[in-house]
Amino acid sequence: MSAQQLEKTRPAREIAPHVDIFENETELLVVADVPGLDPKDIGVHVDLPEFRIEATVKSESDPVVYTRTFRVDERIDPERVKAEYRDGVLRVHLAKSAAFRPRKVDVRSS
Amino acid sequence: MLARLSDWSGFPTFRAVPSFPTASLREELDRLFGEFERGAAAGERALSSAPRLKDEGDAFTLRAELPGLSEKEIDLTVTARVITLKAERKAEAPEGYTAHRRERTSFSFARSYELPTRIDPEKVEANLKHGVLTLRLPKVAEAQPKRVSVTAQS
Repeated sequence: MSAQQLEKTRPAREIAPHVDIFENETELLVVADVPGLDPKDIGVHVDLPEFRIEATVKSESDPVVYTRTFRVDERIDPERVKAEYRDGVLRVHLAKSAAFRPRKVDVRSS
Repeated sequence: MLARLSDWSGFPTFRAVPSFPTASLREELDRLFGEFERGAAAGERALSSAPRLKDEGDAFTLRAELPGLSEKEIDLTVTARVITLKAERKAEAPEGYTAHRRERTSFSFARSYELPTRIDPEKVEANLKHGVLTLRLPKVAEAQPKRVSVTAQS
C-alpha cells in the first residue's frame, strides 16, 4: 500500500489524535481524542504487528482525517478487539491472547 | 571596506558550528507564532483545536472541540454581548492499569468572547454531540442583516 504517495481528491485536515495507552493483565487499552465523528466512520484495524485507527469527519466545510498507527506485539488476539465511542473519545480494548495472560499456578506440597 | 567584507565572508568557523539549534529554534518559533495566530488564551493550547466563532448573518455560531466532557463539565454563560465558556477535564488513568503513553492531557479552559453586535440570550442554543459543542447565538432583530433593494432611476 502506498497510500502516502497518492494525492487526495479532496483536501482534508490530517490529524494525529492524542492517545493514552494503558495495559493490565488481560488487555491493552488505547484511548484517543477524536471529537465530532459519526461512529460508523471510525475504523479500527488490527493487522499484526500493526494496529491502526482511521476515522473521517465528513464535513463540507472542514473535513478531517484522524489517523494513528501503532506497532503491537503478538500477544494481542486480533479476534478479540472491542471499541467504543463516547463523548468524542474512542476506547479500544485489545485483549491479550490466553497464552500471554498471567495464570495463577497452585503450588502443592508433597 | 571591501577588504573587511571579504574577511567576514571568509569566516568559516561561524558557519561550521554544528551545535547551533536551528531546527529546534525554528520549531519553537513556529509553535509560538502558531499560538499567536490562533490567539491562544489560558488553557487553550491544551485543546486540540481552538474554538471557532463565525458570523453567519442572522446568528453567530461557535464550535468547540471538547472530547471526553459531558454537559455537566461545561459551564456556559451568555449576555447580550459576551459569551463565557469554561470547561475542565481531568486526565485520569483507569484503575488497575499501568500507563505506557499519556498524551491526553488535563485542561482547564476559560474564555470570553465579546460579540460585535447584540444577541438575544434567551434564544441561544447549545448542543453537545460526540465531544463537539456547538452554539447558535441569534442576533437581535436590529442587528440582523437587512436586504435593501436598489431602484434604478432613469
